[in-house]
Amino acid sequence: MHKFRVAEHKTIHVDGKDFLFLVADKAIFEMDPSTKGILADWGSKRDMTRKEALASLGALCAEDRDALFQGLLQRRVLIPARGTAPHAKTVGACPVSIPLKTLILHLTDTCNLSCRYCYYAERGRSTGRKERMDLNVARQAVDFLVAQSGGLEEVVLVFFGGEPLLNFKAIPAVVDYACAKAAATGKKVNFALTTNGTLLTEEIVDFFQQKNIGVTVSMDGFQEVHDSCRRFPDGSPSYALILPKVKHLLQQARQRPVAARVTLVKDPGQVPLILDHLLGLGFMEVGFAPVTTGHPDYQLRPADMDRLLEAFQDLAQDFLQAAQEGRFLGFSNLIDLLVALHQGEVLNYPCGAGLGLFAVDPGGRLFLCQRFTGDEQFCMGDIFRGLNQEKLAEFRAEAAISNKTDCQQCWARTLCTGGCYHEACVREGSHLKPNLHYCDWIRRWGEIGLEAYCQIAATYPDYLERLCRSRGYRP
Amino acid sequence: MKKKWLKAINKSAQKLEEKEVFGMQDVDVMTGMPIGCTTVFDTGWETNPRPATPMGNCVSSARDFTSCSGPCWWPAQTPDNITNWPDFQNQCLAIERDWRNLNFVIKR
Repeated sequence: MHKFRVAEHKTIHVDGKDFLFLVADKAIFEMDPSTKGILADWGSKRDMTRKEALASLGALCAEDRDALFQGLLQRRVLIPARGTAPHAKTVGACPVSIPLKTLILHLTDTCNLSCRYCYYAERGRSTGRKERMDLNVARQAVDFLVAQSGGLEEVVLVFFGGEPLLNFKAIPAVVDYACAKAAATGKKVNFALTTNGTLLTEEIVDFFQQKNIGVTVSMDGFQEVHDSCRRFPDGSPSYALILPKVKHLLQQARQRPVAARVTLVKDPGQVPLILDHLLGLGFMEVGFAPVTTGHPDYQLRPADMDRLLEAFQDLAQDFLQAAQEGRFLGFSNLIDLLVALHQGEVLNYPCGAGLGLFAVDPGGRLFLCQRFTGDEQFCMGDIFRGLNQEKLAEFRAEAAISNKTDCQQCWARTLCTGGCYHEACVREGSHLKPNLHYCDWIRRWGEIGLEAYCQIAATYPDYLERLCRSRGYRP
Repeated sequence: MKKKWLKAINKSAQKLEEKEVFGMQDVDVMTGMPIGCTTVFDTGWETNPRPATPMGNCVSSARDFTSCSGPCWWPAQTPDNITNWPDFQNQCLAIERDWRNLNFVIKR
């Protein structure tokens, strides 16, 4: 006899409305009170047969009972019951080849700053590494990207480092070459660059505008916060130096909005002030990331993480207020979460690293992502001879969410998928482990995100579609 | 399903709504399976162990084509063996070996 049960879910209640989040499908429905009652009732029972389920819907006429049952089954709110939860199967090697979408070019592996928390600096320097990426290596990287991009209409080229502007003279040639190369195959290139801001000039800012390059500035907030970690090698602070340059960049930013990337080391209570300050300067969006470090002195303590969550909750309220007034609050962390919830794509991997995204070091070697550059374990080949397919297949098989046993029982697994490989490597000892130190935090943040999502869906649903479009998703 | 019971909000919820297929919905065993959907290749329990609907199928591949062709999966593909193709099974004694022999053409 076939039995059924209610699928793993969360219920959210906002603004007098009820919503249902289906964990396995990452699907969000609004439900009326009768449906909520029925699911609560069924959820408390052990598995039922169809007959038993229909019998409990006595209040409805026969036609409605059938329709409701069928409808819930089709939407996977009801699922066939098995003795135990379906055992996660290990994913074999990827059956289809994945087109290459993004290459992160390390134009140099040097930087003119010595930020105290820098993951790049933490790895130290090894001899024999090139200071600058030669133009011909950069061009070959572009060739590689275009050749491996399959049927994709757009590819992404990110200028990175160290500090990429130390090698600015290579950039215009690479941009022109990439545009020509892509156009020849009917593709477009989307350019991005992350900089510490110290080397911005009027000429460079003009260039960014002309060539439509999306810029992110690594900036930690107002002077006191920024200068606590972001210093030159001689110890002198950087805020006062970059402020006029960044202001100029932001004033000229007409084509593409500029984002700020904040690394948090302490005092997460300052987050709303930091957001205000940076948005006030003219940044369109600000993204916050707790520092990834193996040094206990720099890691955020549990009390700090609680404080961070409170700050994020406050900002979520501000975001909702802005949304209600038709305004946009550039709090990237929440926007990313809302977009992920609206798109509802269930992922097998936490990010594109090793799938459609790789980093290229100045010598042309390919790494899983920019945080792993220089680490042999994560070298996946080079742009001359191509990707090491065997090593890559092994990574893809190992890194899939189905191998993370800790994740299988977590309701947030389709939102989080285990988290950043590099963070896990540094904090948990292996890139294949989920970020257990953040699990609880991520679940609580996920709840905040779900509530904010449902609030917007309840009152101004068009806003969600607009957010997704601003992130490049088509309807 | 009445709109008020559940309303799809995000994109994956909308995709789940699209699965509704017109046709026989009241077969007791196969509830929820898109019946007669001829564009999906699905055979036997050993090749199709889905944990959710449409769940792992009822019979093995070797029985699937003939057993599942009534009110279930292959009504369009299985030849009419009453009038037009009375002996089609003779071309196909072991489906997993002989399926290539099933060359049916609709006469217009």
